[in-house]
Amino acid sequence: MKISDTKILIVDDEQIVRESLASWFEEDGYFVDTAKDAVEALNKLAKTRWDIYFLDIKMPGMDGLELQRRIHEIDKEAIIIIITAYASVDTAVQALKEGAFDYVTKPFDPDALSRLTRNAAKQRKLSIENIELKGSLESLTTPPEIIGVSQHIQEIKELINTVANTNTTVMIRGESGTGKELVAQAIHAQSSRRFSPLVEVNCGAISDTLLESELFGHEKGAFTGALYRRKGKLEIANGGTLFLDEIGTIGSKTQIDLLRAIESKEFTRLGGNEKIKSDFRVICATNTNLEEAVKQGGFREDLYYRLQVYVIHIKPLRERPDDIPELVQYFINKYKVKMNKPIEGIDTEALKMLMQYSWKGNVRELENAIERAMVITQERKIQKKDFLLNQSQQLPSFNNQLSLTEVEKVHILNVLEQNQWNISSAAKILGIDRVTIYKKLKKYGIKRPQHV
Amino acid sequence: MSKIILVPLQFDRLALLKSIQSEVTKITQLPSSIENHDLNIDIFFDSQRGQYDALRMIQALEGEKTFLSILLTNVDLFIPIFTFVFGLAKLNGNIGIVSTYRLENKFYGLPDNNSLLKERVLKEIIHEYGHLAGLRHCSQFNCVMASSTSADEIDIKLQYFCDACQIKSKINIAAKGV
Repeated sequence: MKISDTKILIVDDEQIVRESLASWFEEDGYFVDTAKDAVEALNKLAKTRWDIYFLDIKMPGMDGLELQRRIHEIDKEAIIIIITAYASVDTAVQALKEGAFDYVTKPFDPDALSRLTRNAAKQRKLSIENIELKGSLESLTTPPEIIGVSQHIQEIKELINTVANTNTTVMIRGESGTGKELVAQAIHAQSSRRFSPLVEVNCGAISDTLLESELFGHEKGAFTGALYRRKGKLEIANGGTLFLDEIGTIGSKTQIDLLRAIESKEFTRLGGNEKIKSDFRVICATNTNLEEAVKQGGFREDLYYRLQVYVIHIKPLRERPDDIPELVQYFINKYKVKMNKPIEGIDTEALKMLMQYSWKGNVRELENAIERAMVITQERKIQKKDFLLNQSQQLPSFNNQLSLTEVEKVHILNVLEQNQWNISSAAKILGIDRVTIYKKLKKYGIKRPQHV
Repeated sequence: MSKIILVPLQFDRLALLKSIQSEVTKITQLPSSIENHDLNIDIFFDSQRGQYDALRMIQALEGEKTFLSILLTNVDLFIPIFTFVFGLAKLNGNIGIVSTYRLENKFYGLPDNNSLLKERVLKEIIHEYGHLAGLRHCSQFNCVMASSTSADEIDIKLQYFCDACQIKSKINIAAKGV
């Protein structure tokens, strides 16, 4: 808070005090206003909040003590400094007991007043920061939103609710991009461990030796380059949650150490002898077939069973197209704020296309597609032409609700788009002649897009 | 053409004042002069506080002075809300006042130091001139317009304006046309 951002209200029935103090604070760059009595002060308070209040304790009508109570009813964090004469120090002490920041006696020592005001401004700044930080902490511990209306997503939410407040190890299975990390965050945020860290380790992103040092930490000189002692993620996660992503990729040595650490909640740093205790909860995720890996001997069976206590399996997006409209709208809302673009929604045709797409990259791919389309689009609603989807990934099968005619229409359209609307190539693939294609296009009202 | 008049009122260190005058001209880039005034300051003495009312002294000369005037005195000054003031000047006013009473080392029980006193008096004169030029206190700790409520704080700052205050003071004084 800059000095000019600090607002001071001086309430005193003596004009000389009001004017002198106001001009003195103004010279220091504070924003100052004055009031001759409590009524005027409360009227001013009704219009705006002040950071620091200087209140004369003895005023006609409502006195400074009562005014202090009224101000604190409106703004609990307001900083109040009582102005008093020597004769009324007792009352000033009473004011301090009731929450005044300090009191000053008339006449003021300029040095003391200057210091007091600076401290008061600092205190106010800290109170405001504290409120803001509490707010952000609240938002940090608020579970992330899991979007979707499908039965499957409702079940996932139920599973999260059930397991969150236990210490059970959770395994999240699902294809890449389905939101395994989001589920892990939701479990952590709904658990009693939410005020301790959620430590994420992507086991697939680092080599096995590095992973060991990453998980367990190392002592100084444990290996070449270990210049300092370093805490491992297991130690950092003390009191919180350890999220091991791509657990299927870890090597056999690390598997043994990890199993021991999970079971005993004790481990040693690399190159060290000291046993370290850490109270962490394990959530892991994988998109690989762990059962197959166990069969092949690539993944230890004992670790597999230790991790496979409570499984949450997230279906790929293509198996729950009902979630796509809500996800699309969620991403539009997210990016319209970020991009400051007044995009309202998505065109029905475009949405239909998205619902039929195979989404090999799942929600992550959908999000990227929406973001890209929002960059490109010039309309208020995202159009089909704004998407550049990989047509070879288009669903070979169709929604069970489509009629034969609709299937034919969509299929012709897909093949045409795949061949950049080259009628001859499309006709060859479809096994019909060019004239038939033209007839069908006319029949289904399909028009060649302008951009092709 | 603007001008600064230094007015000694119950101030017997005329040699000090003369040596300061040239510095004032150098820093403010305005011509300056020393002019006496027959104002009897005893009428501003408050017997209860044993001090002189700086505000009333300024008010007494306000209508009279057309140039920028800084009064210099060796008596202890106060304004009703404060226990003391080193000096006083109204923002954009024409008259300022500086007291050497609390600028002297002997006030703090220390041996006299004339060069330090000269520096302090000069800084206070330039500071009050800054207020007359419409400047508020500056957040740069070494700018002469930094607020100082103790002699130590006066010693920390320089006798010069920071760049921003220098520009502002020049513009404001030119606009005042006094």
